[in-house]
Amino acid sequence: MNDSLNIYGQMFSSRLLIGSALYPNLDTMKNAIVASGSEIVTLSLRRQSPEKNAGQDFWQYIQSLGLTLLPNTAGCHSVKEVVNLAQMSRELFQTDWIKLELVGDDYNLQPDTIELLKATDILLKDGFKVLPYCTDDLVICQRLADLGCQVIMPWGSPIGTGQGLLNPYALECIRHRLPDTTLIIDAGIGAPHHAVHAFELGYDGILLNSAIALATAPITMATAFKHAAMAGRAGYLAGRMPERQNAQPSTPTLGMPFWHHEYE
Amino acid sequence: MNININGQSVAIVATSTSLSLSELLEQYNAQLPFAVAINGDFVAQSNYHNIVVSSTDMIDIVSPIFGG
Repeated sequence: MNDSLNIYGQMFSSRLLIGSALYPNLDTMKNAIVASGSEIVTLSLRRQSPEKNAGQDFWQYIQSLGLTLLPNTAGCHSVKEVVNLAQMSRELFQTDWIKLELVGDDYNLQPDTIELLKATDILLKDGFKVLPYCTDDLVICQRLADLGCQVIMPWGSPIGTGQGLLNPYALECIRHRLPDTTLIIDAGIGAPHHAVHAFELGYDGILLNSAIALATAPITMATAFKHAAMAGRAGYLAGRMPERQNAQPSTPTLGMPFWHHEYE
Repeated sequence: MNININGQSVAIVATSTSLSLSELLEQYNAQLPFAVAINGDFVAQSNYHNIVVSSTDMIDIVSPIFGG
């Protein structure tokens, strides 16, 4: 069965998008990314320090993986910042993909979805393929789709919390109302069963970082998420049984021994 | 002259009456790959030679780093 993740017309066999941050060292990062089976890795841009090797080691490790790069605009607080950082990313990474993050509140790093709409409009018109990180607000997701986003990435829970899908109802509504949009849960995934949950809701992919990088054994956890994604997606495609209020025996009752009708 | 590069004041020598962005990057020893913004505005690589930098400009030179 051909079941691929569609990102702006580009097809991927893995439904995991993986971050490159927070690993204990570069070797663990590389091996965990490989173990996850992900074909898309996120990264960012920060001020260069020539005296600190300008991040050359990291860049060489990432290049050696040969994966599709998804640069982010993490840490930006304004439309101007995200637009300019996106343009810098496009030139440096030679990609028109941008994971659009625009922080609205520093307490929970909640996206400023109002400004996000403005920035998305500017970047789409400038030729970017925007993957916006947003909240689980249905109307915001609809507006992003109206602007032309083919991929939308609502949060499961705030970045780095690992709390899983806090509002499955809202996420399910978005899935139901945007059946033709590629939907990816970005942020909040903490354990493999969260991934299964996301896929069972019909989400097309998950983007995660901390859940793997901060695990006791990141490479083993990456493998776990690889299998969780496959299990969740297969479960969704297979169609789960309907829930029932009352118990129903699965073993036939007809022919049950030891039961005798009493004749009067 | 001193120029704000990546949030720090850096002494840069102008070899002529005007300092181009490409001269500044060379003196700063910027290492590839990088991208540049002046006063928060992206500057395309093709314009490095044409852009004249002044002491009041704030330069950002960025490189790849891990991210989620």
